[in-house]
Amino acid sequence: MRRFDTSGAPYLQPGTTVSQLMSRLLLSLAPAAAVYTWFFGPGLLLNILVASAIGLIAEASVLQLRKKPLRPHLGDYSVLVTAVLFAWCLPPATPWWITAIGMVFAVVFAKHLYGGLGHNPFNPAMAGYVLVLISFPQELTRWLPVSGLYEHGPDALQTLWATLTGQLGGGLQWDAVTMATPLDYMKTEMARMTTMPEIKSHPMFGDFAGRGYEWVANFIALGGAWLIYKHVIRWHIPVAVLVGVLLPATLVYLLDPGSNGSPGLHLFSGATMLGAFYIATDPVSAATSPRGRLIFGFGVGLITFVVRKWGGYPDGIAFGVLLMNAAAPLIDHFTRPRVYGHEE
Amino acid sequence: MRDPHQLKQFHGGLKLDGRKLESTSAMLGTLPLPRRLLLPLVQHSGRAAIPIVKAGDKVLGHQEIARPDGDRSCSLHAPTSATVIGIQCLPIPHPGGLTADCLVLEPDGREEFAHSLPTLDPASLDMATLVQRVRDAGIAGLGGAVFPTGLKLAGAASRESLTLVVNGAECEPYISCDDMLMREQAHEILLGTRILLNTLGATAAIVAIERDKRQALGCMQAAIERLGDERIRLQQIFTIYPAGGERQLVQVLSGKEVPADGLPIDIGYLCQNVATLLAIYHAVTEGTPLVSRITTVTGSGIAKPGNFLALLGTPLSVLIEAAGGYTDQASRLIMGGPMMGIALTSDEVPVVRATNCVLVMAADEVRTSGEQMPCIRCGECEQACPAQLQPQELYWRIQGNNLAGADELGLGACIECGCCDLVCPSHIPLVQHYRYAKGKVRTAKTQREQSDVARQRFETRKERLENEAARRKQRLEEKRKTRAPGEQAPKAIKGEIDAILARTQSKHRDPTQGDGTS
Repeated sequence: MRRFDTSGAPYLQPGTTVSQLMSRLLLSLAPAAAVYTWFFGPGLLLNILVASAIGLIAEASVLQLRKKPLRPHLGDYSVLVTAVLFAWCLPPATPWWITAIGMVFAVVFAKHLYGGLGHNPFNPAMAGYVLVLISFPQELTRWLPVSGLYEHGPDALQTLWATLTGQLGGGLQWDAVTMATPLDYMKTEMARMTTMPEIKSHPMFGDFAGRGYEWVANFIALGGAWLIYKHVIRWHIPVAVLVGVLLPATLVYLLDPGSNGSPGLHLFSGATMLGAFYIATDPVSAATSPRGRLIFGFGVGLITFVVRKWGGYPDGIAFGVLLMNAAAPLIDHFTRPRVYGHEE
Repeated sequence: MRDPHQLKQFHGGLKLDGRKLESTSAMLGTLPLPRRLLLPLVQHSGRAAIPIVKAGDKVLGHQEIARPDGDRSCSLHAPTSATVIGIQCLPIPHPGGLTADCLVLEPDGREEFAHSLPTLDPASLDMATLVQRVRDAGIAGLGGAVFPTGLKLAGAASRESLTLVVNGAECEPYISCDDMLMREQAHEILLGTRILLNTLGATAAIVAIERDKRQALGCMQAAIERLGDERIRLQQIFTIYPAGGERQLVQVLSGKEVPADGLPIDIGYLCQNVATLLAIYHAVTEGTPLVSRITTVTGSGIAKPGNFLALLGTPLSVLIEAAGGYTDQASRLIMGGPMMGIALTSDEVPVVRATNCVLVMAADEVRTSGEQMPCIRCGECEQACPAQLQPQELYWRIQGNNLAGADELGLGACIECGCCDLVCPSHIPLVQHYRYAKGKVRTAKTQREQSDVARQRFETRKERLENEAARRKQRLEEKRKTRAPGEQAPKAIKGEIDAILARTQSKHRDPTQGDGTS
């Protein structure tokens, strides 16, 4: 008599895998990375390289310590996603040890000490970023100008040298080549009571936000739209984050256009787009129900705006994400959807 | 025919590849008379039927061979004239591979039939007679749940406004038995529908069929026009799994949800599968009990997929042989569909009332176990859940052994459709967790009930004993009071007591003496 194997229903194969989701996410960032490199040189790629290498080593070591199989967990690409997002937040030409410290903190402390993939309450990339942002304030504000703005920007080789040694070499001084980001510049100038039109007349500003930055933001948004189309992420969080930034930004802009950045500037500067589509959407540390995700995303956007406007940092996505991460379980508790056939 | 765009949709669900063409391209097949028929005494949801024949008996086709044990039970009839071999404990189609008592018949090939049930006039049928006939004919829901139909109809008896839903939505991939039935016997299905409409006094009947079942839609539409009963109308619905589930179908058709611990009848809807309606029609107009059903035999593990009219009790091996046998790829044998079916170890189990499909899948089509990743809270399961549950949160609670917590989140509303499993990127077997937890919750509830009953019994007994003791004490007291103070017990009684004492003492001294029993 022929014997068949049994198992529980359903028998059809699932449609996706975690690695598929993560690799799609990485793929969708490629065009934006190319644009970034075009405008700001290869610094981002070097950051990504360092972060990925250190991330993989850290992940493999912890997995070994935790006696977990390496292949499926390294193969889920989650550590690469963390690495890329973390690297993206750093200024190009960040010394490698800073990247390494942030990445080790992200993987070992923010992720694995809480139980690894799926169990971390905080977004690992943001935890790592905030650690280095607070620890290395000077290095983390050394942003490079958009190419073509000044003649004396570092070339590819100098960027590599800076990444490896922390020194520019070739007789260049940091002060001579670095430059504030548009948000940073705006913050400093505002404090000096410069009016918005004056600020925006600076050549670093493009059509509606920072020159170069606005194009990176466009391509990040395009990548994010593709992710939504491919069901890698859902629309709730990105839309809510953008609304969370736009709503208060528009409000204060209408009240006082002279001393507030335009809504467009807020939307296309800093990490708004990256935060909305790639960072806040990390499902592990976000709220899970659709309603919860709207609240979560709106909170991220709102906190971002508050930090930008009144806080001590030019951008606030990382703080917004981490604070809302902490609130996610509570949001989940209060936004549980009504079950079929049950009363509200 | 109404447009499905006006309908409300249920939450979630999946668009699955139907794969029904393989089995619907052939004509309805018939089977040779099997050598043995194996009829499990439980092939409905409820209590086992009680056999009323013994080994060696000759039975005619349609003769009752087991009668129902109470309302939640179903009688069994001989599918054809046969000799009773006996009652044997044999493997049945069950997920645990269980064995159960089966009546084993050996068909004699004469195909003689008894006419034990008289035909009834559908025009002058009252509710009680209909329910009795449905029970006598051993009809249970043929959509898969096999709930005794008589009980379901009785529950609908006293409803004032009632809509009958003719469930022609066969939402699981591969299965096409209802599709074939609607193509071949649309008119009879509608006559069965009309019997229920008239007898139940229902206001309308909605025939719900997915829009991709073109032929079935055409046949049913033609039959409705031919019958000309204005109460019956056809409704196309979207092809989204699990649209054929009662709760989902009612939600689609009415826009209302069935209460969590209620039934569709509570909001005025009665669902009947098309095959069940046909069985009711035959039982009423011809007095024929339910002894056969259409079963789809399909999948890439089957050489010539098709639909077959099978006598209940036919071993699956007979069906598979009729469908050209297994292909080289055959790797998984399933009774039912690929979403909710039961995996079987062998084809030596019989066709039962619930056997709508025999699916044989190839190894590379079946999901593999063991490649599970941690839950990343992506929420896709929640998007897919037709019960609007949060499968991920249920899963965490079950993982944390917080079963009461899972129950609180509405675990009971899970219909085990498997949508969450299919969309989970971490490949977590979610439904298995829910099945396990449901079982545990059920057991805990039963135990609690039992311990409640035991405690109550103990307390009642204690109270009774205390009452008795109190009463005795009171009686004694009253006696003592009625007796004058200082008065001795009557002499005669005292003497008797002394005599008894003396006797027992002598017995203790010499155990050999006595009445011989000590």
